[in-house]
Amino acid sequence: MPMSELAALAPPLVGGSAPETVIIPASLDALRATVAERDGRTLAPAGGRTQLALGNPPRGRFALLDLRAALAGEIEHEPADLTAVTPAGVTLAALDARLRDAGQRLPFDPPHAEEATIGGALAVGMGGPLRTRYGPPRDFVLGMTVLRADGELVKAGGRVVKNVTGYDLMRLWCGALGTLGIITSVALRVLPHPETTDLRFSVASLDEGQVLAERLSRADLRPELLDLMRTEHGWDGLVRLAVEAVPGAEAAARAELTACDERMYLAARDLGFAEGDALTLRSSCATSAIAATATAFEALAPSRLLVRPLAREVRATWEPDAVPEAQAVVDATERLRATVAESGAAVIAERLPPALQGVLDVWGRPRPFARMAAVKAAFDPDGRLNAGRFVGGL
Amino acid sequence: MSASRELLRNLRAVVGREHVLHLPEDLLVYEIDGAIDRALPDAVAFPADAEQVQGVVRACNKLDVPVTPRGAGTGLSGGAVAARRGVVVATTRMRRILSVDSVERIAIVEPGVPNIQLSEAAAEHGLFYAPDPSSQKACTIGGNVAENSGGPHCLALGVTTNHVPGLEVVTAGGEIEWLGSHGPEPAGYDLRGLFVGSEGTLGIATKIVARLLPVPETVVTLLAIFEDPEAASETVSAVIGAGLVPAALEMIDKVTLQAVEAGLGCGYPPNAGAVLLIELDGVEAVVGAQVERALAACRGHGATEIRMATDPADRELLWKGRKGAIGSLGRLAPNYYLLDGVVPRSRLVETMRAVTEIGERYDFPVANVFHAGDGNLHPCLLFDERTRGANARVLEAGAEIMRICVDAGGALTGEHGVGFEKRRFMSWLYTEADLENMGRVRGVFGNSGGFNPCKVLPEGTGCGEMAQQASALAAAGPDAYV
Repeated sequence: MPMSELAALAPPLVGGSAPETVIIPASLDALRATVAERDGRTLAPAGGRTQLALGNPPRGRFALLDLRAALAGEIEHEPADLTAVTPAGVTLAALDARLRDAGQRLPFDPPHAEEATIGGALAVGMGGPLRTRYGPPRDFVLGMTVLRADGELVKAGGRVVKNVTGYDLMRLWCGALGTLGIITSVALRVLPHPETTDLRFSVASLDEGQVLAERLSRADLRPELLDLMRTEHGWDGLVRLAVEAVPGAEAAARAELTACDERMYLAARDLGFAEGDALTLRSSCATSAIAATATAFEALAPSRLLVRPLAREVRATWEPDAVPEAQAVVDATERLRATVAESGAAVIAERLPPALQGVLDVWGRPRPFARMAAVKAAFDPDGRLNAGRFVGGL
Repeated sequence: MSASRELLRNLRAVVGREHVLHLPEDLLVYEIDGAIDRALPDAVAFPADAEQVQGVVRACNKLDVPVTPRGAGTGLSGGAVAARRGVVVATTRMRRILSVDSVERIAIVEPGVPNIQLSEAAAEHGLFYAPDPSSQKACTIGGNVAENSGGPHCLALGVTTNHVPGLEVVTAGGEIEWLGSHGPEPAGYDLRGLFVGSEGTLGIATKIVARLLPVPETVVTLLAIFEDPEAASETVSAVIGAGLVPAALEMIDKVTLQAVEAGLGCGYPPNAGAVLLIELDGVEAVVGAQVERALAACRGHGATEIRMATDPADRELLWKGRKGAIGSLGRLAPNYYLLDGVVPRSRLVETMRAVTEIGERYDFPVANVFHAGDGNLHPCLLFDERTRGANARVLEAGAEIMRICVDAGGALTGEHGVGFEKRRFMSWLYTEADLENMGRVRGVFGNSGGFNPCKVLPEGTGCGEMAQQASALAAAGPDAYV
């Protein structure tokens, strides 16, 4: 859809709240000028608009800042170096197509990866099924250029695969939801695209699924992903393995593994972020807390429940008519937060229905909060970018 | 200036009289790390726990005395040198492994634990800790965290920051805080990721959560021998081009091979032009297929001989020369200056040629042993400091080599850190705005300039005592590593 038409549509909600307007700078220079202005508004930066629902509503008057036109451009891919440098407004689908031509890929598959932009997806920092093998997306960032809230363009890192020159600000910028600056360009480490197979299995209980995951992991089969989804009768599992690892996998898993198509993978990847998903809670917790966390979610009768055991994630989602009474959700979430807090774990409300907005704290209160507030104050003291949307209203 | 009575009294009150050094002869050991810059601290304090670290940091902050953290002192960029004197805080007494949890696959350790001890403790559970700097027998986990250390096995598995999900720190401002987690992904800003690799300028880690991995089922190490370094470099590209990311991919050049054979006698061919060490791991079926592809790449690019080791003792022998390589260089010259540049992998061959040319121009032999898989070069300039002007010239040659790396699209350091040594070159890579922006994180952690001063960023003055570095070039001994 052309940008002019997008602007004509009713603007989407950000953290449940409507922006005053949508600004679509046509170039990086125009973007810089817009950000440097002080018009009493805060700006909610947006890439592919796949995660605008995430976070608190921005504080006070705000505008949606559509970055795709300003941050478009060419991808520089160096297959021999296993690196790529890309403008932040490029979609993950476009990046993937480019890398695939040379038999490579970025192993990063957040929900709705087709529409998400690389800059937006890194700012959100939410991984997908591939986190199981490849860890958080920031591990693939070699360098970044960021537009700071005062309009200054600053960079950190570089474009080589091993580099400790200077402070690793990329790790601050990834997952900061644009509150410390707008990512404008990214240098990435990429990997050869391996030949893999998706296999499905069924287990009667979550415990059985976790045991199976542990066996595959201990046998060093290095599954690319391993997701467990609750069904009416038990749990459906999905595992992706290197082709050569498949013969050994059934023996190690002690379970029947059958081939499956891509639908199951997409269902797992996008679980919680479909049009009809009203409430989505995700817990990142210790291995030993996965079962209790899943049980706590199950007590609220979610529409769908996903466990990513080797990446230590549990995600539950409720369709509108399944959303429990608000207080029950708040109580359960706060109880869970208190239980898992000791290990530094988090419970994040990734989607909230109107009834819970402003009622359930989206992020919980991560520690050390004062230090995080100091980070925000150091890079965006006026709250020009996404004021109030992130943890503790930063 | 020596330690004031008030400072000594306060330090002793925190850590105990016997755990403070202040006599010049006692301080000498602490004037230098594994690099070349040196400066004598006023005192060294040895705290036993986080509270004592906090007490020392607060005592120093109160009197406006610089603080410099120190692990084993094996660092290779002058990061542990007390550039403006003051107090060195050594983690020597904090060396307990607090727990190893095989369910969560983490260990919690104190900062003074040597890297190798963590791996040994993990091995009892069929697990291992991935980052393996060549100095792993001596270097500490705390120092690894500060420098974001790598090692030969970081090609596939990543460096320290990828394996430390959380840590307890005493910030530069003197607060005790937990950053990150015991494994899960916490909400909020990634302060942990910022702290790891901040070269001891934001605080001192007092407890470290280390992620452990299952020991691979099958490990195969290949040693491929080549007539010249170009053929070896082309093989590196071919291996990557074949879609492989080996666990390790290391190159050793002719100069180093000769020294290693003379010193360690581990069976390397002393007349080869270069050798590659390639290690592949995983389940047998996968590794088997990968070994075939790696062998094809080696043979296709002129390997004259390929040795393969699968059992631990044979593999260790192949690695022995690599890990002891820098130590062996002592046989070739009394002194060496070890660099740590990074270039895009595809620029390896031309960069090595340029390095050789610089060595010839300055009349220093150059030994190369490096992490070829990720383009991380370690040229080593061999010299004799007794030769008039040699020290100044070797530093000049080093600067030229670093410039070559930067001009090739690379970086100043891949794993040794910027430290004191390379901070004056930071402006080659970053604008003033970039550097000012980076500097803001110091304020966030309460560092107003006195916490590990004169490191990483080029700004600031007051490091005059280090100005004589060129004339104080040390004879690095056989206990230095890359």
